[in-house]
Amino acid sequence: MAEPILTLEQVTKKFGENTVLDDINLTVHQGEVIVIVGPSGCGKSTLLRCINALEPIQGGQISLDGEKIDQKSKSLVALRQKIGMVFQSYELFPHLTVLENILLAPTKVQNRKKEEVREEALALLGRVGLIGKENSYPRQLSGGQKQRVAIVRALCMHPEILLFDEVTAALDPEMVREVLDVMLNLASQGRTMMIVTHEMQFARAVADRIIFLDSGKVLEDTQPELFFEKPKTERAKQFLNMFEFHAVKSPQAEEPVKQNA
Amino acid sequence: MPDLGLEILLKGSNMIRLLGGLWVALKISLISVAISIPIGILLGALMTWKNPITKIVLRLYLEFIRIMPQLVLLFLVYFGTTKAFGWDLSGETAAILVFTLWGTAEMSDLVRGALISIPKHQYESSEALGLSKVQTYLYIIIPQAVRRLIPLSINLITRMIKTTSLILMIGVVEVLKVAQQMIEANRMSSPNGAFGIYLAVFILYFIACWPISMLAKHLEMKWR
Repeated sequence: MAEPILTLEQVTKKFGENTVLDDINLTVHQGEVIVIVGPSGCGKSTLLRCINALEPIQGGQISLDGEKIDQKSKSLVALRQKIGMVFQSYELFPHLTVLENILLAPTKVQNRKKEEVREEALALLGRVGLIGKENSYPRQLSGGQKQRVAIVRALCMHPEILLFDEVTAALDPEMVREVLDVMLNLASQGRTMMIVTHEMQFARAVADRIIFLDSGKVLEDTQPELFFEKPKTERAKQFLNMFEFHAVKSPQAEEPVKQNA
Repeated sequence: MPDLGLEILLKGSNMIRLLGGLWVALKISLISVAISIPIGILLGALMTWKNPITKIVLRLYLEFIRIMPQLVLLFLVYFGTTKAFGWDLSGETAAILVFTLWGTAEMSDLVRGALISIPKHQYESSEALGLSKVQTYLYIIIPQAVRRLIPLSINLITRMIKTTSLILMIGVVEVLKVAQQMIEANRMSSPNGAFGIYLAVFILYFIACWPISMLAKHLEMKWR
């Protein structure tokens, strides 16, 4: 197996008395795509936010490339550059154009040459189908377009790992696909990614590993086929059942009602 | 056409005197604005801090200034403090002092409002990109806050210009006082002078505030 780049050891996160993440142990290897699923409020998003140190943790340790991620650490800015994060609500900067949104961090944080980043940004925008949108403002874009810009913005920092926090949850159904396609494409290029999603078919297609979280605990950590075909835990079975629909009307009821002329 | 007393304006150097009065009003208000804005921004930023002491002190300052009518503040500073502390304040200095205190307080509250109206996610998304706290404020939060501030602070500036009409009460000869003097001096020859002169004053205030309002509108459209 490839090098582990991200490790979580006994990570515990509490909001007051409420334990949101309970003794999470996880290793992410180079090139792996990990999809985290679970019922609402199980701590999926919090897990990603802890990895990026947007939330402090109360116990355990998270390290990237062997370096500990800590909200107070001096190297946090350097570590965060290695982690690309895409949010549910896009969070583009509304006062900047698409291109300015993308160029801001590479030029101001990484001090790279504007011309070089610009070229890369335009190429990436082309790859996600947004040619000609570089000078638009976020408000002029659809949700799906904004989310693709947010992905390009994260990619331009050359992160080692990408975190996707329910990136399609706020999108209209017809826009979900265009964003998922971009992510599938990234997976096929061998990017290391951690994805929180409710799109089960997508999860199955993209994942190398599925993590099933419930009440802040990792209940399953397995291959997608195993998880979707033969979930080990009762909770996972219940969870997967929520995505199944059964016909509610009996065949007779579906026959047209005869009308008296 | 009824006699509006407009001819008073053409007598002697009356027009120039009236413009001079407007200049006094504008000078006092604009100096106060120029001092209020930077200090207000600073205090407004401090008000978003979690430190309870700074919060309480700034809150008290804001509420005190807000509750007191501007005229009372002017009297307090011009008549009250000069007597109590025995210092010598000109009417203009007292006016600038009061207007600065007032403008700073109002501005700080506007800045606080603009800053807390920026969603928490904007900070997070900026930090997630590796921007430092200072960079986050510099490139993300302040530019957005300024855009939200513009219409509100322009409103404050025009209010400050208009409120200079109170400072004649502490003996500053500004546009309204000049107007009164003219009406008084021509009471016999043009008994209707009040209408024409105050109409001129109205137009002068309008000319002073209108471009500022337009600028605000323009910026609002541009930064929508």
